Amino acid sequence: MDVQSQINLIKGKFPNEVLENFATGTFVNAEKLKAICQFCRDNEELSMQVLTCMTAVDLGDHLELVYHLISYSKKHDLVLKVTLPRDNAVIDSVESVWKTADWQERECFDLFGVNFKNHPDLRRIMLPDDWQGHPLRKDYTPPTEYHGMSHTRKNPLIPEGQSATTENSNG
Amino acid sequence: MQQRKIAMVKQELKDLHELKQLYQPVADEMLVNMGPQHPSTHGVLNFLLVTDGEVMHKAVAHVGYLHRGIEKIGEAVEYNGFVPFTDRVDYLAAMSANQGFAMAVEKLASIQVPERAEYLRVIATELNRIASHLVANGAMAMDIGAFTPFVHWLKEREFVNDLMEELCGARLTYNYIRIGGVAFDCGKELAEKIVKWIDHFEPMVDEFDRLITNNEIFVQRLANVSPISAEEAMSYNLVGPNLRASGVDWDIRRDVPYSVYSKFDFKIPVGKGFRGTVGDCYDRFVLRILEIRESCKILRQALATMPEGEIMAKVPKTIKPPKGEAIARVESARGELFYYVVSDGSSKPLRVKIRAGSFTAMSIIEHLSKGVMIADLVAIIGSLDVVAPEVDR
Repeated sequence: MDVQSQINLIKGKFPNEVLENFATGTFVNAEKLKAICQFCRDNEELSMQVLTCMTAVDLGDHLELVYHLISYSKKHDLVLKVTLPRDNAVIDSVESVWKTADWQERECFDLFGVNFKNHPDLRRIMLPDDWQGHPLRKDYTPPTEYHGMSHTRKNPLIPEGQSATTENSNG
Repeated sequence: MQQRKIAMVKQELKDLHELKQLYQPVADEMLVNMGPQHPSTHGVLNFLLVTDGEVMHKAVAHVGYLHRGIEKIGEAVEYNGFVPFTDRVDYLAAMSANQGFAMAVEKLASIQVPERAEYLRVIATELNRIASHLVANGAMAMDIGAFTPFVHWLKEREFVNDLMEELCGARLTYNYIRIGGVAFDCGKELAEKIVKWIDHFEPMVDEFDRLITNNEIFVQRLANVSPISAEEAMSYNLVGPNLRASGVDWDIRRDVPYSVYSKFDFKIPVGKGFRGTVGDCYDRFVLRILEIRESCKILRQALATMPEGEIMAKVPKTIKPPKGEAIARVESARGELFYYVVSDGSSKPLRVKIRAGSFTAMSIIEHLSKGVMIADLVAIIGSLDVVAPEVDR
């Protein structure tokens, strides 16, 4: 099934929640995302059995959450996007629809600071629990030290007095 | 120094306190740490086992020890400069990781790859798939106590590494598949060498089958251990051999063909409970061996029909794709590797997302671990073929 007819199917059920379209999918209303996902999975013509990738993009003034859905039986795919404000990024978890969302949402929470409502176990996954900030946001600045461990080190090849430290080149 | 030590001890105590609050061990339960330094965890990762004697109630995976922030690095380097980093995502199947990123950028910048380069990509990734499956199965057999096959399999993998070295100068992190094509051509001599090696290798697979695959002790050890149903596999987004072992007939190479895979004749093996339940550890093991045989078939066809021509498209030194986004899905040795690249029109990506097969495979372990023996956890991790750097990126 092509993308447009998939979107029309969703539009039939949620006429007011489907917003702007793009080539591979559509923007949807953030508050109804979970219901739409549930519909995409359970509807026989769509039968999106898999949430293959769930991630976010920081566009500077807002965050964009991207859900890539795939159907193995129908051999089609669809992208759902949601826009969230940067300072108060909260959205319903889709963990009850696809189990894989558990870890993928944890990663998104860890690296982007998006809060998922009703997530069973929303903890940091990649970084330590006491880490400050969310690294994949565009305005993130890496800390200079962590528990007394410095992130910069002396370069023995540069003599004293000159700029004697090399920054860790991450970001 | 003293201060740092005190801080770390304090942190450990706090962690322990939090753990106890998080898991609340009851009556006979015991918390055991497995890893981060453990030979069977395939890299640095930690499991917190909630056990009652030998039986596990829960195994909670703690990942992130190898988190290098590759996605963040992607936003700081130019498109061409990111290709070597993709090698480090999955060091056992670096070719597919190269290819996924290259394909995504080619889609973004509408670059047409020459046909000979596509054939070379197929040859390189299939060779790499064989090498990766050899390590996966060998390490799994070693984890559960069969050391001999591991040695034999690593010996065969050394030959693949030699071929790779001749092809692109590197044995592990290749940086071979570039945006727009491949870095080096494959001469006639090398092509003949690869065919010669396959002639030697295919009978070796039969020998491996006699040595370990059909070994009754080995079969008894793995059959019926932690079967994964097709619904679970799809819900947890398992990919590649893990998904197919559960009976889901899906392979990107056939179902959403990319590169030149549609020109080759090969089968997609699917798990059907070879010696036990569908989707058990033994099925996942056997699937990889069947895939090795199919890869040999693809290699023979690709080497026989490879056309002459260019190996690199005309790509500007600094690639500046137009504003937009692209996805690329490739069948890596560990299953569907998913790249999502967003461009803002500048010379650096706005966002690079890598969804790796090991990440989702790792997330199912907590679910699978309920009620199994500690020794079986090792078999589960081995059979899911989890590579830690790919989980953490």
